[in-house]
Amino acid sequence: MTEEAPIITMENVTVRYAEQEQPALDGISLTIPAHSWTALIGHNGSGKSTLIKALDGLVTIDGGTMTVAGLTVNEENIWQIRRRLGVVFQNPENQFVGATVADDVAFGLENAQVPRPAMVDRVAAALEQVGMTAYAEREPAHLSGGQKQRVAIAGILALAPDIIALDEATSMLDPEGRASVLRTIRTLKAQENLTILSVTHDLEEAAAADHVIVIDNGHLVASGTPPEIFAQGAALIDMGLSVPFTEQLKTDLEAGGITLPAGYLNEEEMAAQLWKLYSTM
Amino acid sequence: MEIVLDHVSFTYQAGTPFAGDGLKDVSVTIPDGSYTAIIGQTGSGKSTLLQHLNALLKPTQGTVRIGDRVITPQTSNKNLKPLRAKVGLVFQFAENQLFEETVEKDVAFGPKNFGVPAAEAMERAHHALTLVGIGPEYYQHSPFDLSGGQMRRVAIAGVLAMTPELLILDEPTAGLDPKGRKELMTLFEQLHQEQGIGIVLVTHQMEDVANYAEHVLVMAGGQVIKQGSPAAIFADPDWLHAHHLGLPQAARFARLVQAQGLPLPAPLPLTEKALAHALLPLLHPGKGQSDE
Amino acid sequence: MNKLMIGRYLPGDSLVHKMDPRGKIVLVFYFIWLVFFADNVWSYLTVGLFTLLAVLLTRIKLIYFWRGIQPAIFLILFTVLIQVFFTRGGQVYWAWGPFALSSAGVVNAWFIFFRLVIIIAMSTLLTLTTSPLDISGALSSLMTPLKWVHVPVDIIALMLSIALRFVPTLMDETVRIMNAQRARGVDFGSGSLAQQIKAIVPILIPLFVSAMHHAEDLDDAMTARGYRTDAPRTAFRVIQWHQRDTLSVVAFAALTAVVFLVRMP
Repeated sequence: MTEEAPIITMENVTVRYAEQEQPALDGISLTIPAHSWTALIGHNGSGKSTLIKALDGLVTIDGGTMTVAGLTVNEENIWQIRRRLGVVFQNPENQFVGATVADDVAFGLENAQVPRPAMVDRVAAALEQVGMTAYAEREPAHLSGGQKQRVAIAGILALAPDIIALDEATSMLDPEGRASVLRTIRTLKAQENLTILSVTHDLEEAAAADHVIVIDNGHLVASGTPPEIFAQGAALIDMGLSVPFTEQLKTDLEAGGITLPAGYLNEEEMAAQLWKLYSTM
Repeated sequence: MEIVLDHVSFTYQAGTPFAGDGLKDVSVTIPDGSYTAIIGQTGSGKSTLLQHLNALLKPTQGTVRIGDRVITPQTSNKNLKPLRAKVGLVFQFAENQLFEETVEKDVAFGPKNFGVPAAEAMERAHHALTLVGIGPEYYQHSPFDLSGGQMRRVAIAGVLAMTPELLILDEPTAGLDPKGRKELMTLFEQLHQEQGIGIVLVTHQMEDVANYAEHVLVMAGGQVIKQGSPAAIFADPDWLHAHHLGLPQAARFARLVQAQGLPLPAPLPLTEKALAHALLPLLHPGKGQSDE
Repeated sequence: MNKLMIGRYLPGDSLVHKMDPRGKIVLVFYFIWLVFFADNVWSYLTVGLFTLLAVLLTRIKLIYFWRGIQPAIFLILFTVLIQVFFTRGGQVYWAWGPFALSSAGVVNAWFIFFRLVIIIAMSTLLTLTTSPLDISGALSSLMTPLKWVHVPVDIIALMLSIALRFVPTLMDETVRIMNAQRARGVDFGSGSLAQQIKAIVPILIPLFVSAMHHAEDLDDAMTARGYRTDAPRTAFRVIQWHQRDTLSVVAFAALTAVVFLVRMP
């Protein structure tokens, strides 16, 4: 991909929680290019979520500097930054503030003091974009997890942000919900030229990203394109992840005496390689 | 212990917002000591079915036989307790049920309720904690000081300490990272293989179905619409797709390879190992039947 | 639980449903006050017919109103009996010690009976036709003047709305936790009082912990979405006053006039 100017930078960022010995983030430095999709992976408790919260000023950092959309993350800028960076959190239940879908989408706009006539238009437009228009008057109790997450996305979208951060936003959803949320995000990224920063365990989602960053015990341990990261094979397991399916298959086939090209192959590439092997025999 | 549902229907009290998530004329047998997977979309009736297996719910129509106890709509709520010790039910996000001051007390809570003397209950708690990989250094900790994954294990230990003959698991790995997921699935497999505990697993992970289950129930709209071995269930990808269910990754990839033209022999390999095994003969020089 | 109709909302599309909730609340309270001025057959008949008209306008089945009255039936009968036996006046049919059955007692008892039924029917009408959300919105709106004495009306309103929004969530959670503990051998609703109280602990603590988690996450989510208590906000949900609301005020004014006209001089 073409390197764009960074939209997020972190320089030596450290976060320490009061009751814990080990820092949650320990001198993290990274940059995230604008308009890219970056997957942030690592096992539970590795510090991935803390990283998102630090960027959004929800935890205070004990050292280092960060910028989001050209603004230094500090007390003075934080409310502006929160309009540029929207976060979809893990639990669909716990970010639904409004009494109905439309009320919830409007919540951020009310906070931004958008006048009501403009608000009505923007709520309608955002709901349209996530395909929830028909549910505008529904109460959250009558929505599935995937629908609630799409409402959360609409709430962010209404504020026209530059970046959407997904903090394990699909981990509590069933496969259908997960697919619908990812589909929505993909479409929106293209339409609105967004930058996506996604904390995830889903290797398939990570495989589709432009960049993968691996966090372990508060350290950045790897960063690169999905093929670069996934070629690490068994080392991924030590980081609390799993080995991508094609890598596993490759290991087993190689153990059976088959030679396959070095480097990570996605499913299509792997299938093509197998066909090549078979047909040239 | 065998569980037999005979024409079981269940209707939730009218007025609940999620009416329809009941059961309609379900007749299934969960064989003694089997590993059964239940798959189906959210709201297909899986949770309702589970709660019939330990008589948390009683059928509105039909009968449920759990071992030698028969539950009918008329069965009184008394004396159902012994059943619940034999059929352990681990709810989704089971860590939400923890409440005691210490880890060991919480795990001993179940056995104590079933009349096990305090000392033995504690012994059982320690044994169960060992099984789930929670070491003695945590026994005196508050369960609320543990990590999410550890809390889940403690909650599971709390059910294992009741020494159930059948373990019912409602999406036990939801929200865990891949490592935690793998560890738990291995634990359940061990309990099944080594101690002969029957397992009923509700899951959205088709890989788990392919890797572990012996028997699969497919649910939709409160009914069991198909049952059989994983091979039988996954043999019809189009039917699964029509019911919003997927294939295990290995089977999906096998179909991709077949579409490329590789003559993978039937049946469709369901696991990565089976797939590698099926591919190797085709790729080895000399062994492959090059019919070009 | 399903029988209890007090506080239940039945969505609908009737004139009464569509009324401004502020107007509805104020008018219902006004009506309850007005009922106490009824003191003869004609005035009771007036408020009674008015209630019947209002009930019919909701297009909700009468059975739901009856269910609203049902739980209070013993209270009503008790009050009626006291009226019957302790009021003396007019012709005394029967007397024994402090008890007496008199014509005035019987008439009074009828009035009390009607008054209670009318009041309960009208309050049931309010809750049946107004969503909790509208009631909370209306209450906040009615509290607006309190801003002048520095009551944080907006914060209270948001709290109320969030509390209502989480009621179904916490109800679901309670059921789930109860089931999980029942699966671990807890018996609810059996044994001595002490045992029953003890059985509540394994529900209350997880519920409390879970509520705390909801609150922490919600705090983050609200902050991330730009909510600050020290800044003004605009409002998406507005309650609109329509002509029909003005008309209903007129109707109540007319009712007042009639009641006072037919009252005993």
